[in-house]
Amino acid sequence: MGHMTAHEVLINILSSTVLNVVPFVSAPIAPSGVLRENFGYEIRLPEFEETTRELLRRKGAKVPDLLLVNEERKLLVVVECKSDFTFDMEERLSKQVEFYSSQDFEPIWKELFKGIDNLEIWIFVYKGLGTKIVRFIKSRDVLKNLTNLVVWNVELIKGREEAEIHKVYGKHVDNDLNDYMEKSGLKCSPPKTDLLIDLTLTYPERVFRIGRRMLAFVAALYLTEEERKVTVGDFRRRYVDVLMTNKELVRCFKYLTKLIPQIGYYDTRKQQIQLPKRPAFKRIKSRLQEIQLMSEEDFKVELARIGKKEIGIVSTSRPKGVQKTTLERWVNKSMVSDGSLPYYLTVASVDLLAANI
Amino acid sequence: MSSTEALRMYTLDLFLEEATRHVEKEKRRVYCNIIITYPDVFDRLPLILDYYGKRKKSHWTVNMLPCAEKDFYLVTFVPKEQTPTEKSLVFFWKTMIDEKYVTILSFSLHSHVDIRRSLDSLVGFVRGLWFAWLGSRFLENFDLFAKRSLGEDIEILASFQTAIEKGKFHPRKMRVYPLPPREFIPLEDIRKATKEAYVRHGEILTFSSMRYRIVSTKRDIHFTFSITDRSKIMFERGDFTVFVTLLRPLLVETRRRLDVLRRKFYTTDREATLFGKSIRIRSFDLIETLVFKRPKETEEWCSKVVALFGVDIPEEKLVNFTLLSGNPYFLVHVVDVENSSSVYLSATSDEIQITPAENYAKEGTTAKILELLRSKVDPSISVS
Repeated sequence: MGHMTAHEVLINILSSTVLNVVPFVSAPIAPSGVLRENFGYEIRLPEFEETTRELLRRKGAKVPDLLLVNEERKLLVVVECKSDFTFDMEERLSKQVEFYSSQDFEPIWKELFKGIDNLEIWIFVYKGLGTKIVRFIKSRDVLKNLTNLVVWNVELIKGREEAEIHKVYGKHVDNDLNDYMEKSGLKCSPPKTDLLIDLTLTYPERVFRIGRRMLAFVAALYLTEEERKVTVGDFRRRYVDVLMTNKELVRCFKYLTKLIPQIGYYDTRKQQIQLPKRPAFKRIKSRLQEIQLMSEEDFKVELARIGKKEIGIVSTSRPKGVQKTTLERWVNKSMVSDGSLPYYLTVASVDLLAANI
Repeated sequence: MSSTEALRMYTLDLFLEEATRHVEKEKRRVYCNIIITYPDVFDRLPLILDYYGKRKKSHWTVNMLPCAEKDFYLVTFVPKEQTPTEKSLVFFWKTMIDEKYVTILSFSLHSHVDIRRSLDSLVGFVRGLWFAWLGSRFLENFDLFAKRSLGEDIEILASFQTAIEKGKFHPRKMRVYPLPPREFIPLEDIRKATKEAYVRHGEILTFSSMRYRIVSTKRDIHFTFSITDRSKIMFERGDFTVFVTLLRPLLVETRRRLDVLRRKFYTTDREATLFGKSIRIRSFDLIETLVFKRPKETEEWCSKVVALFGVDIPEEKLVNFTLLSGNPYFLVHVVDVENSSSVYLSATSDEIQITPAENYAKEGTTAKILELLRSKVDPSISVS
């Protein structure tokens, strides 16, 4: 059984309201994509590389969970999903919101989304947390005075696979949306596709998802060796929802091939996975499922265990070439004392030592 | 002039004339296969054929040579080791190209065994080259299709030698209709029998191939041919020229099906600059899904889907990862390792939805899943 983290469920629900899902044969699933269909909000996924992320971090910001754009109203919506609200998170949320509404962030979003004039910040939480967050916002003057801050909460309706979204704080710049949210709220049936847009996913879950996707590169028959090679670029071209950096993706590839050698071999030099000719699907599948059930700690332990095993193999292998048999040949000549000072007691370091004394 | 050079002088009309002569005088069978590929794969086909031929295990060197007419090719399978018993195999390919697909109509006068050894092997190896999917339901309703092309006055009878019954455990080859072998009956009777089997015993019967006899006493037309659910056609005897008129509508039908089976994830990318670095901003424009609503008479719809896709299906080369399984909701990531493609399949108590799990879910994968759903869950599932 697969599972989504509470944070990802929130991202999934909101992103489903802006995705344009168009079924073919029969009628569309009515409530999906309601924000896009009725109000013109669209999802935007910026691919920030490591350097840009670092620069953002230095400015005190993290990449928002979702970015929505309403071209007609020239509005950018920054969405922060919160699945929990502890003391630590209060501070973090406060900093995030302050940054999004600061003068530091303005040139960034204006650079990224040319022609957009307004910014709105949405905090999206589960129903139980809505009032808690509203209370927190009201207690902070900096947050209370923000006119572009809105809080939505969501209730999952059991047995119906539906979600009901309500606005619990703030006023939308978009009057139509504001009226709609105040009157009835949103109802949606989020399609449970497991996108890779959530950057907070745990490593076991990431490796599980990437591993499943990697299996789709495997073919029953290969004509050339080239067909068995999967680069980061190939993976990105095929899966348009991969938002993690190349460095991060490479790391996941390495973990994947380390934990499941049956899925392929990672070539560090060429940065690509070489798929096996005849993969053991049963073994790969069961191993992927095992990984998914691991906690982050178990995952680290497993990686360390496998790493140790690899080192063990290396250390037990016999050295090739001429065997040194005598002690003189084994002992490095420089290690035998010839009465001179060791390297760390060179003239400069002795002078320094003397000065300190 | 060498024999290959002589064959390269053919046009489609010349070939059809020649084939008609063979059919009438020598009682030869003509094999017509509909193969689909993408334009970029087709452009690289000479190179791909070269790779195919250079494989150690490959029995053939394959050449694709243009003929005297545009979009008409001579494809030769020359055995690497020439023996007195082994001879070169010749295929004629008529291609129809549009912006999304290249449809190839492959003609051959060789035996079924030779075609399996050569063309089937090639199609199996080359990614992005596959036999067009028609499906069991199309075979069952072939009379409705043929009458549209050949006229209402024709009579269409069907028979089958073997068929695949999708049993509870494994598919097996067997006679699925109590008929003496090779007896022709109206398709309406077959439809009645399959419907009865479903209503009475809940059994879903599917057909992998069918033989048809087409007769019109008024116009003095009669011919017999067989067709598989993967559009492999074998003309047996009768009016070959009339049979050929049926091929174009068949190509149109396979092309129409491709549009339904092709499920894509449409995105647009825009470049922006931040801190002097270029950043790509992607927006999801459209996700095409296939949705099937549950008919009132179908029972245990969701549980059947769970039973089918809850485990791997090795005989279909499907690896399934159940992502959610509740009541009444089921989500599975289906990885098709035959076509190197994957989709998400979700089922609730009243609908099934197929969504691409990558930017382009292959047509073959969707077709395979539809055929499985049709044979195990609900016989009414179809793309028509």
